[in-house]
Amino acid sequence: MAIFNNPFPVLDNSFGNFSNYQFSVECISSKVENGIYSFGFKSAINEPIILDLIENKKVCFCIQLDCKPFIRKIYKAEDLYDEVTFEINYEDIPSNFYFEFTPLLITETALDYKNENADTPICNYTFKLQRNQIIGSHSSLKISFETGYETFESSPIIKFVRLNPPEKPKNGSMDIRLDLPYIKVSVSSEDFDLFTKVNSLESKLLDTVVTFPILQYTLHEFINDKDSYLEKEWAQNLNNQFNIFDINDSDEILNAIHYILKSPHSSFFDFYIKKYETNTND
Amino acid sequence: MNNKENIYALKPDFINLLYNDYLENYQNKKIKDFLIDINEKYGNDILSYCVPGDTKIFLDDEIRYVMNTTPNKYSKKQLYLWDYEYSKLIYTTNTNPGIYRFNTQNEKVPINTIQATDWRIWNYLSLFKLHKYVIKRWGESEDPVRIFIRKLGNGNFSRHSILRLYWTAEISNDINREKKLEFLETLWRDEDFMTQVTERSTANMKEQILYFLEFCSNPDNEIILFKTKSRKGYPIYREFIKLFLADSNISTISNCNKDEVFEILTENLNACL
Repeated sequence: MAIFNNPFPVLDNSFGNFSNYQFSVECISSKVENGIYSFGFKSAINEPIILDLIENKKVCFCIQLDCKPFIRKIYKAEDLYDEVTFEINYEDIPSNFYFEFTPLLITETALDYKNENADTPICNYTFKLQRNQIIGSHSSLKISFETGYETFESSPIIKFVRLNPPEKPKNGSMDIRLDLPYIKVSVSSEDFDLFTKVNSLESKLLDTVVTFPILQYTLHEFINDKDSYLEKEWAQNLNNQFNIFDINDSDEILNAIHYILKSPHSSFFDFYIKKYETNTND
Repeated sequence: MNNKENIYALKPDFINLLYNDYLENYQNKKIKDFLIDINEKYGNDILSYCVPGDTKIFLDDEIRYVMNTTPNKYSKKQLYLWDYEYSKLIYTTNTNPGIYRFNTQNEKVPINTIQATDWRIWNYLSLFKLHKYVIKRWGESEDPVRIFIRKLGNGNFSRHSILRLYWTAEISNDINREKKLEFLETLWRDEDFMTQVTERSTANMKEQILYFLEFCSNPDNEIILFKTKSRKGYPIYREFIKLFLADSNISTISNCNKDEVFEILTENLNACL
């Protein structure tokens, strides 16, 4: 639905002056790739006076971005007067991955404005507008990404590595290395892509299906040669959380795995990055 | 010293558990009672209640020590000076490590926006790692907003005991100046001014809020803003800040350059007199 406050706040749509005119905006693209959020918006305006001002570069179409509570920025149409495209680095936005876009028409210069399309007596008035003044605004579009980039750039406990095709793991479906600060799991490109897809749909399922054999192997290796692994970051992390240093036999391994997988916030994967749970109950 | 302390993130479920505990069992009690109790109960095993993995966020050990152990030397009316002092202390600059991360060149740098808005970390700091400081500064309060953050918002950020210190420095940090936190002193001119500025949506415009603080730092303007009372009996700055907020509704202030912001502010200041 088009909303036309023009020029705000002297006129607004409650006067009904602009019922025949449109300021419609469509979100034409939104994606996140390689840590960059990209967005595109296209406007459709049929109000002749505004169109004339836009063509003469006295007014421009822009998007006001709010990532509450920290960021407010303006992205203006440049090459195409009716389109705004922009990119945002994931590190520059708050961790709730929440975007609010407000399409606006703003003045590029100070100017005298008279709208003869308005009802009397407004049509007889000339308004003095400052640069950056809002003369048209559209209702906001709010987008919250359910998945994004995790707060931690961390050394999560398990890191998956995608082998270049046609390379395959040497030890069955995955190669597991424990001599690094993290548990390195190398899988074929096909499996990696499958894991990514499953994880985007149901990460807990993947946790259960994939973490189980990895932890089983890891903990068996650990109890067989504790001295080699006690100082490893992955071992200490698991111990801080799940006391793995106390494990001595296969039964205790199974118990530990059961406990780990039951943990509601165990997310061990690095290749898929998931927004942490936020609380909005209060 | 300059050893680093790992900063962990409390599990959201654990934060909820503590929050509900506070609401249910600490009615008519003080924050200090709650902090003492939870540190006795969970303090020795706190990692069990943190999200696994490393946040890669660190707090300088000496700073933690200073904050937790230095007694308050300010009177009740001067507590904002304490806040100002610790705000400088907790923020990373070239000369102060504060709360930081490492960049790819292994240099200490300020945490990024995602990290700075991770409520799990700030809860960890206020409830556990810096709880002794919180007891000194806010121990007599009963307001849970001083120790808990449960959602992102200007109000929470400017009231939470630890995040307000970090956030005011972040807002005031001007990377183009030699003295990067030059305007932090102005923002902490008094507690009410800091709250009035940071609680409003205009605080989201990083570049323009720096112009705003620069304008308020001008000695002539400072006298008017802070030492003159409006007709309602408040310092002039309250009305001045409201006008700036009103301007942000009719103009795209976030697109204004310094001259344009100063022009708006000069007009508003004259309107307040």
